[in-house]
Order: sequence, then C-alpha cells, then structure tokens
Amino acid sequence: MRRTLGLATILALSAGCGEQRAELWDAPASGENVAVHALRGSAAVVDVVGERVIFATPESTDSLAFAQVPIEHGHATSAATRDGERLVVLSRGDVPRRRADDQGPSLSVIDSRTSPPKTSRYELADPLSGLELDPTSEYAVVYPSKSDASFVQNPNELVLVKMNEPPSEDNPVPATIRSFGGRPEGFTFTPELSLPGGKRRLLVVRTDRDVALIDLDAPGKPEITVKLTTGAVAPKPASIAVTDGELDDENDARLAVRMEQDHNVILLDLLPTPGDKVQTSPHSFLPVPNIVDVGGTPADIAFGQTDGGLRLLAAVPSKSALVLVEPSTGVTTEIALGAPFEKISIVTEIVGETANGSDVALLWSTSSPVIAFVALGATVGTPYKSVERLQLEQPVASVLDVPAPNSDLKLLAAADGRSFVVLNLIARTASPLLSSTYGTQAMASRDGERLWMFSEQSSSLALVNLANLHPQNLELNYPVGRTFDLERKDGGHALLALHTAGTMGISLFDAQKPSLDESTEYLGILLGDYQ
Amino acid sequence: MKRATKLQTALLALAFSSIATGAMAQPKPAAPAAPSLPAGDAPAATPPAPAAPSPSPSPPAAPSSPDASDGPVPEESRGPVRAFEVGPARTAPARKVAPARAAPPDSATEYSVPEEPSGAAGMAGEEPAAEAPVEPPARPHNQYFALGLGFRAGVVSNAGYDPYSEDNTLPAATLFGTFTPFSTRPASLHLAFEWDFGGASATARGLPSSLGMHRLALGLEGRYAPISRISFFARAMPAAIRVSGTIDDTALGNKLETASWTWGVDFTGGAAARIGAVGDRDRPKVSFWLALDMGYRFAGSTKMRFRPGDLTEDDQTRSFGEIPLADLDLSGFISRLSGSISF
Repeated sequence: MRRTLGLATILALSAGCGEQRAELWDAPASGENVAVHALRGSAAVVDVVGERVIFATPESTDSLAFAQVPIEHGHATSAATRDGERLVVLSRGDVPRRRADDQGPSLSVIDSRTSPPKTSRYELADPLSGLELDPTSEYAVVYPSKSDASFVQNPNELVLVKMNEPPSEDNPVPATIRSFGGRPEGFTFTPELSLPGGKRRLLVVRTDRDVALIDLDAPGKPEITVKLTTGAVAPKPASIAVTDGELDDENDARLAVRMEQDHNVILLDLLPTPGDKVQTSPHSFLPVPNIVDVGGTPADIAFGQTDGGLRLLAAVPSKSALVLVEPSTGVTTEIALGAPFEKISIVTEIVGETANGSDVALLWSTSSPVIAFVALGATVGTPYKSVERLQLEQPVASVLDVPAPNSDLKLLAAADGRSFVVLNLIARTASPLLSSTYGTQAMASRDGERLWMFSEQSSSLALVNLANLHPQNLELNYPVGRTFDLERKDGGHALLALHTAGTMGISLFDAQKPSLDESTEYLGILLGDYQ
Repeated sequence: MKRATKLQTALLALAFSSIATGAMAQPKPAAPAAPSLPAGDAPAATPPAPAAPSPSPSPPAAPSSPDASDGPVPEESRGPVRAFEVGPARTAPARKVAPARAAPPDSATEYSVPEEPSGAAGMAGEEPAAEAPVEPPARPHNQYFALGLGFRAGVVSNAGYDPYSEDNTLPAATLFGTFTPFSTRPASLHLAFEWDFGGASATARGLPSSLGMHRLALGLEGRYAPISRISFFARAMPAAIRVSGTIDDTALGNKLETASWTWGVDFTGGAAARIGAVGDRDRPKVSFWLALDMGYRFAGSTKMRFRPGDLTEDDQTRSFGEIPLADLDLSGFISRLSGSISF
C-alpha cells in the first residue's frame, strides 16, 4: 500500500510535466520577427515565429475581424502584390530536411479576396530568399539572395512563378541565366512590348556586370544575356528604362541601361533576329547595343516624348543638366537646369501633354532644395521649351504618389522626416506641411482623398484632407508604426493605426471621420488565435 | 517560476506521501493493544454486556464484521448496529456488568449477544431485581461530517493552456467536505462539496501570463469501508469552473485580462486511510484521514477573450475590442492528495 500510494502520487504529478507547450509561446514578440503589409481590404501581419499571417479586416466603424492563415516553415520574405489583393510568402522550409514530413521550400500566394483567405502553394527545388513581384501581379521571381548560403549554389538560378496559374509541372519554371561572373541584383518587368514576333513582356535581370532578358511568354526559352563590356573592369548596371516606341512599330522597342560611375548609357534596340541567326536563335528578336556618352554620370534615366520624337532623358547632376539622347542615332542634346537634379519622373499622364503632344518631366534633387518641371515640347535644335523651377525649403528625399482623383498631387518628403511639401503638378504650387517630430512618415489613402502622417516616436496621428490640406491631429495612446487606409466591408473606409510595441495593437477609426470617441483599440494582436 | 511551482508541488506531494506511509505504519502495533484496554478506559467504547434477553435480529452482523479479523471495530459501522442492540437494553432489566467485564477482550465478542440471554444470565445465577440500576450505555458516536484540505494536480493537454503554463500541469489547492445523511455500513452515500483554487503562470511570447481557476462542485460520494481504517470511495462532482487569465503587456503598458465560467464534471475514485483519532479508538469522535484519489475531469471549453483590465478613470472612455486566445478546455486526468477530518 505504501508503495502504491507513493507511486500514484508521483504519477499524478508527473503526468502533466512531460509535454511541452508550443514553441510559439516561448519566443518573445519582436518587431524583427514580424512583417506588415497593406492589402486592399485588410492589414496583413506576418508572424514569423507563429508561422502564420494574421489578417485584420475592418467590418464596420468599430469592429475588426481577424483571420489567420498558416505559412510554411522557414519564412524568408514576404510581399504584397501591387493590386493589394494577394500576399506572397517565400519559405525556405525545414533546412536541412531530415524527415519525410519536413517541409520543402515553397512560395505561398495567399488570396485575401476570399474568406477565409485561400493559399496556393508552389513547391520550389531549393531554399532561396530573394523575391521580386511583377507590378501587374502576374509573376513572381525567386532568386538566391546574398544571404543564402547553401553548400553549393548557383547564384544565377531563378525560379519564375506564374501566380495566376495553379501549380503544375510547368509552373514554377526554373531558369538559369548565363552570366559572366555576376549574380542577379535587380529585376525589371516590362510592360507589354511590340516586339518582332508579337507582343510580349520581358523580364530584365540586372547582375552586377551584365543584363539578361527573359521572354515571359516563353520562359522556358533560353534567356538572352547582354555582356556590357569586353574590358577588364565591368561596369555595374544601375537601372533600366523601357519604351515600346511608336504604337504600332514592332521594331522600335528599346531598353536603356544606366551604369554606376559611368558616363555611358547603353541602349538596347530590340530588333528582329538577323537572317543568319534565325536558324540558331530560339527568339524572334535580339538586342542590339548602342553605347552613348551623356557627358557625365547620369543619376536617373527615362524615356520621354518630344515633338521631335522619342528621346532618352538622362539627369546628369555634375552638369546640372538634362541630357536628351536620340535613341536611333545616339545624338545628345543638353537642357541646362541650373541645379543638379537626380530623379526624373514623367508626369504627362497627370498634368496632360503639351500642346504639341510631348511629355512633361518632373525633376527633383536629394542635394538641392529645388524641383523643376521640364516641358519637352520643343523642336529639335532648341530642345527645351520651358523649365520651371520651384524653390523648396529642403531637398527632397522621397516622393509619394497620390492615387486618383488627386493624382495631380505629390508629397515630397525631406530627409529629416519633419518637412513635407504637397506639390500640385498642375498649379505648380508647393504647400508645406510641417511635423513636430523627426521621422514622420506619410501614407496616401487608396482612394486618393487623404494623407495619414505618423511617427514611431510619437503617439500622434494626423489626417490631411487633400481637398483643402487641412490637418486633423489625433492623440492616440501608443506610438504608431504603420497606418492602413482600408476599404470596409460596409463600403466605407477604415483607418488602422498599428502599434508595433510589445505584442502589437491596432486602433481602428472611421477614416473619413476619425474620432477618438468612436475609435476601438485591439491590444495583443500577436497573442490571438484567430482560427 | 513555473518550475519552482512544480518543484514545490512535487515536494509537497512527497511530504504528503511520507506522512501517508508513516501513518499507515502506525495502526499495526496499535491493533493488538486494543483488546487489552481496560474496560474502564473506554466506557463508551465498551458498553456493558447487552442486557436484552431476547435475541436480537442483528447479532449475526457483528461477528461477520470484517473488523473481527482486524481487531478494532469500525466506529461508524458500529453506530447503527449498537443503536439497534443497545436500544432494547434500556427497557430491559438491568444486568450485572461483571460478566461483561470478564468477557474476552475481543470487541467483536463483546457484541456477540446471542448467547447471553440464556447463557450469561443463567451462569451468573443472580437475581436481576436485586442489582443496582446500571448506567445506560453510551450512545455510539456517529460521524456525519468531514472536512478536508489537499492538493490537486490536473493534466491539461489542451493547446489553449499553453499561454499560461510551460507544461500541462494545473496545480490547485482543494477544500472539500462531506455530509452523511444516512449512516450505513459498510457502504454509504454522502453529499460532497469541493472548492478548488489553483492556477499557473508562465510567459506568453515574453510577457508574464497567469491563469487562475476556481471550481465549485457539489455531488455525491459513494463510500465502502471494509475495515475501520480504510475506506474506498468514488465521486461524481458536477462543478462550475471560473477561469481567469492575465497577460501583462509591459511594452504597451496594459494588463490584458479575461474571465469566464464553464462547467465540469469530475469522476474520481480513491482510497482513504485513517491515520489518527480523538477519543475512543474504536468509536472516536474525531478521525483523521489521508486520502488519494484519481480520475478524469470533463470540462466545457471556455472562450479566452482578452482586453485591458487595469484601466484608470481616464481610460474609461476608451473602447476596446477583444483578442481571442485559443479556447481553453480543462478536461484531463486529475489526482488529489488530501488530509481530512471527520466528526
């Protein structure tokens, strides 16, 4: 009896001590393990430790609905598609895979339009960490990033995933670019181009020394690699500009490659495959390079339309000039700007084309407190009709686009995060907005009617009505790390202010009439179980 | 902190276990001593020889009592038997007690009255009318109540328990009691109540978290006592369970809280050993017991919806939504080590 009692007691006490709880609860909540993305109707919080995505969806002015979707092991990175409807999560899986049920690498595409969100899983062959999404949300490219460290790795191996098609033997498509010693560093998805052999889209891959073209309509075909130099020193491609040329001319699509620390810009004319290579080349077009010296290291390039035809625009700060390159001949023309400008944006769609049908370019600088509007409607020989400069208080560090119907506005932010300017592209006015807190960030609503300004250093939140630029300040209870202006299920708009401290919180407002009285706070977001 | 609680729990259990084993060892040397007690030491426990001349319908029960082989007679089992035996003696002529004192010390024999109406009286050869009236025998003491305190360990395998504990153990203190409406032996039925109060603490994603549990139960206990020192019992205890949780989000400066009620039914069975008594050893007024029982708890799933609870006056105007954690189900294996007192 004595032994029985003792044994029974020990058994009773120890029975509950053997099993350990889920590892999730032992991992501290930390911003490093959380990624946040804005979707059209919900805020997506990727809880890396919890291996799940939490969707916070506003249902009404005072109610949030939460849902969660599990993700695969070994989160590498995640991104939202530009249309705001899907979340793409890249996972490395269990590395190394020791058991049959260990997960392999995969790409998960989570469609937030369905309830509950639906996940499409694309298996990958290797655990990679680089992810690039197509602006049209059609493709995703998975590639090895510099942080990937497999025993043996091919840095030029890419995986192309067609996100609009279900997983199959032909999807994803592996591709390896031929490189002359480089590795992928940047990707440009072109719009549909009129190319010899038909309209198609290209994926332009920048390595640290060459450029590769992948036909997205036939990704199984070998890529076209353009070696940018034959010399010992390989220039590094920095950015790509694309033009389709004339509307119905399939032989004038071009790419332009800007090089780092190099005066040359390389134009690639996408021409029909020469007759002597038709039998050997799988492609109906081939790039023909044309090197143009623009007189200084260009900081940015773009294609623009003048009344004299298509030109490549190169902002050359060292010359305080905008250099226009005639792409077919390589002839250059300078437009003196009077100040160094580093960024070019074609704003014709916003401000309207000039009387002669040419484009308007907006230039700004990160070093000089000035912006310029350049109307390209000049005749050849006098290639500038007007350069309109606007003096600012501080140089521009970043530019925020505003969606329609206020797309004629742009928010220019200074580097200190305190000075902002609302630039009216049509009226050519610059209205200042000043913040009392360093590091203030701004976000434009998807309906283009509001700006939200906030700072992680402050509990303040400001709504700026873009119709009259009137700021409405709100004092919240916690600092705001991110804001989401989302479409509510009842048709209105909600503002979610995300508090990133601790286990995270969300303050919910009516975006059109934000009021503390009618706000609702949700605290402990990362603790929740939303199944 | 959770580990410390677990260690304390184990030590406590082992201490109880030691007490139990020590207590269990005591009765053996005491048992042989019982028959040698002088009658005068325990007048209530050693009643005068039954005087009822008429055969009692109950005498056969006494010899057949399991206590006959164990020495002491179970005090509770004697209660009703004695009441039945002694009752008629009050109206019967008084008898000398001497023969009774000369009776064998075996208490079971003391209650073997069938022979007495003819044998004992005849052998004494004395006139009953000439004897002095004898004090009516003391009414045996029936124990109707019991109160106890103990330690209960539950095993909660439900994932909803994870935020509040690093393992699956739910320790609790337990206060319980029984009431015996009808005293029968060796099997009896009792009304029982239990109040468990316990909980656990841990960290939930780096934040201090805790769970509190109060359980109020009212049910039935069936008991079987084959001998006076040991009883076996089984309980069915429907209960109301109040569960409360807190998570202290120090970064946001809020303590998130929740509280809710759910139902539960415990089915347990176990054994109790008498480890001591006050008063006569065979018919003590107070008995001390050590018990161990085990079983299974069925409990309803309860929502754990958290929201700030430590609000200041200024915060009263704020509106909070609830964050649901996984539903909590406290069902699982349970055990209890307890000490109790019956009277």
